[in-house]
Amino acid sequence: MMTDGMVRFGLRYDPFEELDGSKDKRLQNYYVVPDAADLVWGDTPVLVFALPGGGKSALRVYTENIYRDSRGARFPVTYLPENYDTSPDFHLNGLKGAFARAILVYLFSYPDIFNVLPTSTRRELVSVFRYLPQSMEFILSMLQPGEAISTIEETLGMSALSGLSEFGDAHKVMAGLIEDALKNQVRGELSIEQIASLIKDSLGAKSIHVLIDGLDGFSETTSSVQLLAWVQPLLERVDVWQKQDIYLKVFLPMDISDTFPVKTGVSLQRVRLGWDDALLAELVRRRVMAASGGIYDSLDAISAPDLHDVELEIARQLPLEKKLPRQMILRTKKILSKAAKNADNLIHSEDLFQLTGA
Amino acid sequence: MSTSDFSREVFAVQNAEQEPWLEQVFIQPEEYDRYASNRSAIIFGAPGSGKTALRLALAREAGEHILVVPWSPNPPEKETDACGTPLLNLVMKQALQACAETIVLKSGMSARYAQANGWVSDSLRWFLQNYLPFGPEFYIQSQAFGLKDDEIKWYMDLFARPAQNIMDESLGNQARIRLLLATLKRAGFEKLWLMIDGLEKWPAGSTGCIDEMLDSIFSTLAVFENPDLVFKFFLPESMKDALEKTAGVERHRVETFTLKWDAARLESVLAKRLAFLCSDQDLSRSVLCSDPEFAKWLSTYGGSKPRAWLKLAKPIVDAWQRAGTALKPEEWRAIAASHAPQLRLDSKGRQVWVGERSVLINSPTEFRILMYLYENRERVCNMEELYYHCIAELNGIPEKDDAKRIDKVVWRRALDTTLWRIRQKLEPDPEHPVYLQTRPRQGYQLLNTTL
Repeated sequence: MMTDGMVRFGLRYDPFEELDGSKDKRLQNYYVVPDAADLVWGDTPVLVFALPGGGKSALRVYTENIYRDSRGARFPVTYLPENYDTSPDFHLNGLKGAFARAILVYLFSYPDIFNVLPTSTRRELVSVFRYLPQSMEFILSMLQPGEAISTIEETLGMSALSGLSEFGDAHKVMAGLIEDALKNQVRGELSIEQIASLIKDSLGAKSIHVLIDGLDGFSETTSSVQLLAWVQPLLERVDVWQKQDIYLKVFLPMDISDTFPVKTGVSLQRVRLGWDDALLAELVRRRVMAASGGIYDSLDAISAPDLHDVELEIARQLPLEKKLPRQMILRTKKILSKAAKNADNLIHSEDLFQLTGA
Repeated sequence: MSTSDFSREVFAVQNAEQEPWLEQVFIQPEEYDRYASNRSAIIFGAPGSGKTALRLALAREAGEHILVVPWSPNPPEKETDACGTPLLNLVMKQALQACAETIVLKSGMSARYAQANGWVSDSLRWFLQNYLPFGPEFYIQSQAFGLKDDEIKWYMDLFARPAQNIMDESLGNQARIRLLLATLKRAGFEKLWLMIDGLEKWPAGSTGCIDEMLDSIFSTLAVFENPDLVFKFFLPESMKDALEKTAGVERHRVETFTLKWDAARLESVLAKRLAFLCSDQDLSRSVLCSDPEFAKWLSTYGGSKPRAWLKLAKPIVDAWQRAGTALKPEEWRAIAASHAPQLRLDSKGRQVWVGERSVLINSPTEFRILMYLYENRERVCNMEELYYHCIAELNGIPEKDDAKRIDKVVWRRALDTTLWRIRQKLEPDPEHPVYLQTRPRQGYQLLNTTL
């Protein structure tokens, strides 16, 4: 919701509204890359640890977009378990669904690729769609002229990342070809390795990056012991999958980073997301700049003349354990809502300092 | 209905759901805009603080593009010992059933979907078939009271369409919710608001079950993942501490509020109801009585709860209507004395309230006497039992030859003093007590009490 205060500050939208990176549709406009991101983006399996509100999900979403921009060379697959289940194949089945969604969304972006594939490859590829949450027949019924592709993506749980809005002629052709291919699809179970080979062979991917997040989002996995036990089956595959250019990037809570017993033969990178005052200040500056349409790039522009480096001051005020993006956004939001009540529409030192320790 | 009966109705608020005039008399509490935002929220409030009225107002004012689903979760079956994710799945299934019923009864879906075909119809059909109770056809024909004939026909035609395989039955609730949201969007509903209220109505002994259920909801981040699904929980204040430790609250996936009312807003609550009662927009509380003590009395004994203010004001409004003019100070005071705010005690928390005024009783002896009188409020308690039970702390009155028995002359003064102190703390006017009453030659009785 756009608040009156934000209008008063000359902002076109509230850049501090969304506290959750994975829900923020404007994240690309103002994302600040944390120091360890290069390591996360590389061709290597990696465990990414962060505190709650420390930017795990935002980095995951941003990483997915980075890979997406590689036009399939680095193929992203996002797996967010939606249920807690300890049955042996739970994660593998979930991953197959994630692979199927990733392939379908990729084809939405590049329908021509599917249309020129040999018939036999098309049949193999559509056989992966049996792992989609909805039946492919139903999804095809959604692929109609005038239908927004984002609707289908959202229905699949993809957060409408492809950026496509319209169903075009190429999609129409693709839908027809998928329908044909489904009639003669390859039967039988497919393994993750087989699906990965299909992606590499038919879609030209050099590597597959499986982004796994939200493992700690269940009442059961608030216990570190249960979380570790739940993740272990995935990590046991790291070695095998790395040899096939499948790289797991697992986003986990910081509190288990010290006790994480990973027994694999490969070097599994560990990254701890950390934020200093300068990065947190930059996070606010970029949001302000994006929301003001480039008119100003610092809260200094809407602060009383005696205030300088307002963002940096906000970051400095955060206690050490709260030097995190979500806390920075929350604090800035509070300061702005307080300042919005000032007659001159400016942030004053009392707005900034009265919240210290709040 | 006579005017007096009507005022009794307008000011005798026990349940906002039974007030057909609520829309005309509703006053927004503080932070209303934040409650009305598209963010999930928990709104804590004590009984009588206006949670249900707020829920109804938010539902009413949500706008055409939001489907508001009221949902009062049922306690899980006794034989299930579900917790964590299995419990969450049970609860979310109930939520989806509530959605299905609201879609049929409140959404005007047949008009909104007049042009719909293809996947939208298939999806709606699939959803209703899975979640309407008693089977969809039976529900539409026998349970969906208020549906017009053409709407019934529309639904029956929908169910007559050939079924399509849409979703794997083993999939979790999130995939189902996403499909429902996409389907609703095609009907013009951009958001789905689930309004959760009525947990206080769960049977006694369900507290652990409620805590478990809420913990499973607020600890599961996937529940709050979809920005188009908004939860508004209306919960008793007593649950606040436990829920603030859950992941959903700690990570700000859901905002928390406590319903607040300042005296000015509560004055507006009274004024608006008076205005509605008299069809006169310019009425204020002071028309009842201009005595500043009246406002102070309302504030002291009504606290910060609209229901308490209305309850206090009701007999005054009745008298004002009968008199046809503002009441004099002695008039409202007489009415206030004859309609004293109720006294209640919490033995565990050792707390005493008169109306919404918290009375500080620090002395253990005073509290024991008050508690004894409260527990025996149906009868007069004599002085001996008050002394021996509450001051001497014996289990009963000793026999005449018992060594523990003491001459009344010795303890009478101590008891009188203690009772005097209680009156000083309890009574609005200790010279004319309305709670701790003396029954000549019999003893004492506590009046105007409530549980």
